[in-house]
Amino acid sequence: MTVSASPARTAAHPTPAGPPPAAPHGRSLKDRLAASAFIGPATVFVGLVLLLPMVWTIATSFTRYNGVTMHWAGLDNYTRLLTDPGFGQSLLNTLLWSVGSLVLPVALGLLIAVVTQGSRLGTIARIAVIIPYALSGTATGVVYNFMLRSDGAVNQVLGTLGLDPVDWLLHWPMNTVTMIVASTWQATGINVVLFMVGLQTVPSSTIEAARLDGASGGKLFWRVVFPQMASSTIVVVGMALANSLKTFDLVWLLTSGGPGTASETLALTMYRQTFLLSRYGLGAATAVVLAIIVVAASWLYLRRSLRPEPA
Amino acid sequence: MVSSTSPASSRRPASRWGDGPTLSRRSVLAAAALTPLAAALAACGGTSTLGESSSTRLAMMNDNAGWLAGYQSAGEALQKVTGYDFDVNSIANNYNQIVKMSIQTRKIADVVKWQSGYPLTELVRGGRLAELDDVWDQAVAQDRVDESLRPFVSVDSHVYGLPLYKSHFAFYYSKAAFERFGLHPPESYDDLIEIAKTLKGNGVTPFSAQYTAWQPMCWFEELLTKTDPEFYLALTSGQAAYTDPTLLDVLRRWSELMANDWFTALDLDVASACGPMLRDGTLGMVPYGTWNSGSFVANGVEPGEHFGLFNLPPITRGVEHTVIVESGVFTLPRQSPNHAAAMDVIGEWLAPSVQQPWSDYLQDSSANPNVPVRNPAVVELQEQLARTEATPLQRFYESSPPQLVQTVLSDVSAFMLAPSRYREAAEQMARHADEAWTDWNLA
Repeated sequence: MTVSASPARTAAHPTPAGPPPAAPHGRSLKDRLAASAFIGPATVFVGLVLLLPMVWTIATSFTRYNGVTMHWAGLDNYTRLLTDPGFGQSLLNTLLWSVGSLVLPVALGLLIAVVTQGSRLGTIARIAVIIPYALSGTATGVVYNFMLRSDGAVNQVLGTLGLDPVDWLLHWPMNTVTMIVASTWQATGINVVLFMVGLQTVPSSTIEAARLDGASGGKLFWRVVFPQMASSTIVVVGMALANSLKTFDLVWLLTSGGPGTASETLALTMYRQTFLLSRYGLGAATAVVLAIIVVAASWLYLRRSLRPEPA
Repeated sequence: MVSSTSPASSRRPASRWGDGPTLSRRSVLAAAALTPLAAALAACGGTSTLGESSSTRLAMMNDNAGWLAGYQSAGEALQKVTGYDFDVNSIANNYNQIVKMSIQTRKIADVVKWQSGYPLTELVRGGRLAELDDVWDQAVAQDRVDESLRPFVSVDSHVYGLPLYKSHFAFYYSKAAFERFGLHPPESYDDLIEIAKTLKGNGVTPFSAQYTAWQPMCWFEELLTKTDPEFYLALTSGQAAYTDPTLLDVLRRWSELMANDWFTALDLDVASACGPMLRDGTLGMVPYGTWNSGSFVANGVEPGEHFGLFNLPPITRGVEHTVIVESGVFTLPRQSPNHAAAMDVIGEWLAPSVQQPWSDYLQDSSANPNVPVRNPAVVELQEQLARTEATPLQRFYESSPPQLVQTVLSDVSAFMLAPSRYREAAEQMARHADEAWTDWNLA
């Protein structure tokens, strides 16, 4: 998407008949106090529930803390994390989740939105796809656990068809791929909704003009329609990217990161180190690394996507 | 909040909900701003749910919501003796973290269920637990506790926990399958292998095993302790390495059992899947804790009728008989709100009149050796243990630092799905054990 800074956005309430807005330095003490009263509670709230825990986490990442005793550890936790082969596996799985979440739910969401647009039966299809999004990740995990374990529903169906059972969740990378597919079932719905909104913002006049110029089918979609859905695409891809980097609930419920730590994502590593191993310092260091990755990936993506239009 | 009758508000049209008091914008904003503050103050000043005691009820923290009825039965018996019973607060998730954090405050329950061994040592290191030497000595004098459990609940020769129960890890076996093929519980490891061959040859899966969470421990500790109990003690106390030939031998033996295709799928639920298979005679044996009898009963699998219990004989000839023992403990935080009353209650916990309903509920052995267990399968096991003079060994979960147990069991889990790579698994275990011992010694 290209965003241009329009004059209307930069002007401060341009009302022709009204007085010019007061400069900030010209505000009275009363106005300042009133403004502080409005933003104060929100600032305190954000400080308490977001900034303070963040500072505490960063500080904890430099300690050796087991919940009972705490010692200064310097950069030990970060060194240990980066030299741990399990951390590399965790990073690889997180990368697989990111790629899988970008490819499957986003592509399927776009396909379903385009194919079902304007069709009566399409409405039913869209609802069927969107409903799973209303389920929590935990509920999805419970359902898929029932389906995918060795004596689960899927293998029973395979058995009735005379096929051998499959170890869906017991071996890497099969278990990670299976979980990404399960996640796709749930995550596609919101993408369909967002792409539908994007499709509705494309002016029909543009499409008519393109048709008059001879564009049709795939060329019409990719050259004319899709570029005009850029705002929706940015949101969908951005959300998919951030969510995939935080993947936790489905993996925890289906494999607990196993066998061993083979299917762990960074979020699971953080949880395991903190809550199962009581290595709060190492868990905090993992959280800091994960936060850096999420912020860096989002910033790079949005910086590229929201590049201002050249003058 | 009721608004003031300002001129501005009097000019407003009447609310469509009627002409009652209306809320001004300022009032709403003020309320919104003050609500979190009020909530925070209330949370700081109010009574914690972790430590909510009344004049006759002592707050107790527990991690097993399924035992509520058992605690109630035991609590009623306790009340007759001491005047107090339990107000049980069951916390299913992150129990260890919640206890570790709350025990550093005054917002802690009067009695806390915890684990013996190293997890107990971890809490004691923080200086937050009361010594129970007098309670223990009194229980021993009254013949209410098995003195052999003392090392499990002691740290630096002081007692800090009172046993909650005395469970064993043993093999559940299918009465139907054993009777159908004329089999009996094994007297030696060779017998066990012959039984497995017979079952497999007749279409019955000999064993179950689970790869998730703590469950890989069942086979791991059985094979280890029955191969070399001295090595088990050395390994769990950090005196032997996970790359020792004895451990490699254990893993190799286990991998050979798995190569025979003698196991169920590794992700079957014990209670709901393996239990009915035992009852129906399609599964031969399940190594697990004796406390699981109640879960089998809940799934229609009855002790004595559908399953029995035996202790695995030594694998290495000439090695003494041993059995894995597990006992959770009751601990008393130093800062508990009703410390004296809690001490009195704990002092009577092992009384026969309290332990009998508790043991009946668990369908498992009491820590009081004079309280008879009514589960026929556990009786069968106890008779075998007495006959073979089996030495109790603390289970793996409490025998090493918690970080070591968690990481090594994770490695055992990975090994179970790639058993031929047992050497790599052992090296991984050794690396994780070294890290965990370093952490433990630095804490």
